[in-house]
Amino acid sequence: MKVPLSWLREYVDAPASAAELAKLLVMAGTGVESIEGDVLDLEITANRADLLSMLGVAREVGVLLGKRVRIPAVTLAEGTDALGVEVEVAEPGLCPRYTARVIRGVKVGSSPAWLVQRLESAGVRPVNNVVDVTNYVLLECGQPLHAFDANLLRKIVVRRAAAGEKLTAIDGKTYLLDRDRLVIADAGRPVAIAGVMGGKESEIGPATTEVVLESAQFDPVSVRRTSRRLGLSSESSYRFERGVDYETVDWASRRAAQIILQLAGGRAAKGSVEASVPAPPRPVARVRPARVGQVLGMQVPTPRIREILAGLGCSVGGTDAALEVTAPAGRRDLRIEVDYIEEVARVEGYDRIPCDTQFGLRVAVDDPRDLVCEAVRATLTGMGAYEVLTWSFAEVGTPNRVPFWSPGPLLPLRDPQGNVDRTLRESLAPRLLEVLQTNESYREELHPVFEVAQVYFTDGKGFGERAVLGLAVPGDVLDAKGLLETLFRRLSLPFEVVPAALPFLRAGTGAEIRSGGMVLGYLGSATPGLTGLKAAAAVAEVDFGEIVRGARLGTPYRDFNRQPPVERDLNVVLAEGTPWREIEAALRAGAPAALESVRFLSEYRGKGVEPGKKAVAFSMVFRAPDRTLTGEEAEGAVKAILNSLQAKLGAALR
Amino acid sequence: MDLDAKIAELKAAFEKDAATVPAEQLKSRYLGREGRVRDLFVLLKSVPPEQKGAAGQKLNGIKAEFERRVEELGRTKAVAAAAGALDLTLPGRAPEFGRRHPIYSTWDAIGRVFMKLGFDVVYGPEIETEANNFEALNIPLDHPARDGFDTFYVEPPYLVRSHTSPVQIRTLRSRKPPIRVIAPGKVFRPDKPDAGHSPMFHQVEGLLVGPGITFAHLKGVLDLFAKSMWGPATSIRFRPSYFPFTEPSAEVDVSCFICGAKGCPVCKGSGWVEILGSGMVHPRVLENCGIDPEANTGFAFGMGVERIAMLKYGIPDIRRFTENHFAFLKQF
Ligand SMILES: [Zn+2]
Repeated sequence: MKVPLSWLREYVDAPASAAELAKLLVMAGTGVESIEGDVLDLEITANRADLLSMLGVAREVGVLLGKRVRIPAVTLAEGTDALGVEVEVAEPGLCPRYTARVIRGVKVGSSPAWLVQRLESAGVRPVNNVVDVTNYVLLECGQPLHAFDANLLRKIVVRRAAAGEKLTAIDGKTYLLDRDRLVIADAGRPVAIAGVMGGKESEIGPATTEVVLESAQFDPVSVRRTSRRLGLSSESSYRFERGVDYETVDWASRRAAQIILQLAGGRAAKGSVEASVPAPPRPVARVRPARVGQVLGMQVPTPRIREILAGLGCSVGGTDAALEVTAPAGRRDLRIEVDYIEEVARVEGYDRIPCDTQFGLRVAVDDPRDLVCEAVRATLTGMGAYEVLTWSFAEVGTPNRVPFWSPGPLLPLRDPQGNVDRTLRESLAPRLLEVLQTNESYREELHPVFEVAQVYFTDGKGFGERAVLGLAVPGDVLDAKGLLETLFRRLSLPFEVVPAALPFLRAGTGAEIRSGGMVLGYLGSATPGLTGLKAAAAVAEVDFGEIVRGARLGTPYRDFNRQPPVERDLNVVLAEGTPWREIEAALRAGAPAALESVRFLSEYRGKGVEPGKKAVAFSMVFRAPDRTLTGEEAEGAVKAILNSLQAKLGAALR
Repeated sequence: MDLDAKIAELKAAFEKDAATVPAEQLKSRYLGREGRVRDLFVLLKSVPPEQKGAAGQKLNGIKAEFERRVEELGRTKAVAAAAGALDLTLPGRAPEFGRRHPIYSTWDAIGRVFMKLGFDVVYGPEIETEANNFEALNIPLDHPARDGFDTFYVEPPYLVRSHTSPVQIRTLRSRKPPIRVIAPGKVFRPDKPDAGHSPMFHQVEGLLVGPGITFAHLKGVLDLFAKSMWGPATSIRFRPSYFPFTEPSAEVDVSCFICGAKGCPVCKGSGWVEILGSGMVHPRVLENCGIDPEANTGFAFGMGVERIAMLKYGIPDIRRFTENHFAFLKQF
């Protein structure tokens, strides 16, 4: 809200400069968006509807500086004419107070320079003298007013719109209304959307001579819903949504009528017509000065508390142990004890509250998720992988489905307007591959990328999510598998890779990652459809919760063998389709206990190896627990292994 | 001829040869199977028996000395030879290492400070209910207080959380005071992406609830946080604000760590940078979670990880974080 310092000064002795005023307000909780000349643009928090007016800001300045506020005196000279307008409020729940005055014989024209200048400095466009006065009083006291051309209005009905009713508002647009929209109507049709905007037909124009001046209080929720539904917001709706003050309704009506008479001439009819429920009682809060200290950690003397509350316009009774405090009109945010504690802190200044670090010692408990995540990130980055951060969203109707975690439909996300332009992702793979693609298009050297993040699913009954470790690796599926092997070794988590038909992966490359009989995830080569990459890439996803459950970060020490190892390499030729898993099983079956480890070295097909066969080289380490192995023993072991390979797989020494 | 004299002669010859003869040749000439030390051992046969022990020791001594010298010379010459062939200005054979994403490392850095202060790290789901995301936090439906909390809905009443505060609700319901936790995580808001906004970002929220916890403790904890994060000279400033779930509420600024609070573009000349929102947990929130607000008080705070990271590294645009260019990630 724009507040010109010169206007504010009419009501309170404000600080000398806009900058000083800004500092004062900021340190009391009202943000200042900008300062232009002597105009401050204030950011008013949703709880402080009372600050949406010059008088409200003046009251705040008055409290903070201990100055008196000058409220304009209203001296409306009413005539003797009868009102000639009836009001019926059909929905008192949505309109607790409605008043109307009538002014006849006005001469509509442009406003005097002082008024035009004030409205413009506050960012409001001048229209004509009558409308300008209603806007001026709105800015002055925060009560929205509306002026109708009375020629068309003999009976005012505040009611729900009928379904299908339409109204062309003064913005020139036509709005379709329904039962949930409150309207001001004449005998037949709506003439205004209550609290939001008036209608074009009853707008004040050059031909207007008779004015109906509306000042009312509408239900904040109803106005807010209507404003949001119609996508129509105004200075009025903004204030009604935040709540206007019951008492100010009449003051504003008289104040505006008085100025209209001054600027546009005419006569005020006698009195006003009013339809209202009784004023709601103001809440009384019990405020214990001791509690102020308990919440703030700073003792504020009781007389000072009384002084601050009185300065805010509260009436303060009760005892020193428990004050009984009634909020002033307009401070709808002050209801319970803690509301007043905040006021005391705010007016005293938060900088007066000390820093206290005596809140007791406690050792934080490590979450296994954090420890494992740290090990995963350290290991993968240590191997050259980049951690990335990708969107949890997927496009609507993406052809790149990776329905590994759940076969259900993607979860749509609706924005507040109800648009669905994205879904929650079911898999990390598409976004990780997209990262490789982005970097490929920037001609970066490609590195493996990974992320631990949620994937989402629906299981028919409800929604779910699951933390997943995702990897995308330039190269083939063994590049991805190697990273996982080293990672899982770091985590002491045994796993195996079992070929599986996964339709979103390149045929023949897909496999499940299993541990202890459970499926933890998958890996495989990405299809060109999934990546758009020129380079080959593999992907893997592993259930992160299962990694956390299975990982052992601190395994007990086992003594190691100090005997010298004997190493032997073998190169054998066997049938093309024999998987390494079988070769290793066969050689282990024939090996003596002294075989400590086997390491695959290479595979070869081609010249020197007959078609349908391949040569496989591997390296073995032998070691006895209690003595140095002799050369003869090692040779014997190799021979036994060769025999086993020969017997089981028909392998021959190359 | 006396043995001692022969030893002295041999030593002189060895030193003379050492200057010119390569180590391997020295070794075979003096220490080999037909070397000159061996020749002396042959002489040992003619030494009288009572002197044999001492003479043997002398010969073994000279042998050991020559062996040591040969090895030494060999080593020096190898280094000299290698230095001639090797270009040490060539780059080393360096293994590649990857990088951590700056958002996750900033998240960790924030978490580390609070763990030192005894805060546990807690997590909650990203798909939440309206009740946990709004109602329990004293944010009523159809209230202007919701304006700052536009939300993506999955299907009412389910939504993706717009802040990590629902984790506070879950923690207040599942633990008993005293409660001291931080809740980091992803949050979602239907904002159009621009330099300062993103529909997905990260928050770290904190909560300390128990008997006797005051606003002064809130100030104390955040002062320690700021000093740990940005250095001991950092100071903080509390400004009143409004959040439906805290009262009194405060925005917290830190003295600008870019310019040392002298005024720069980052702090817009003010010397202060806004970093988080905080306040005393609203009694209604405690009540909603079954905690007696008379016996317990507490504070909560929340900060955006992206904002902290942008300030820390001087990154001007929030969109850099989700583009994942290696050229960007390589810098962290
Ligand atoms: Zn600065």
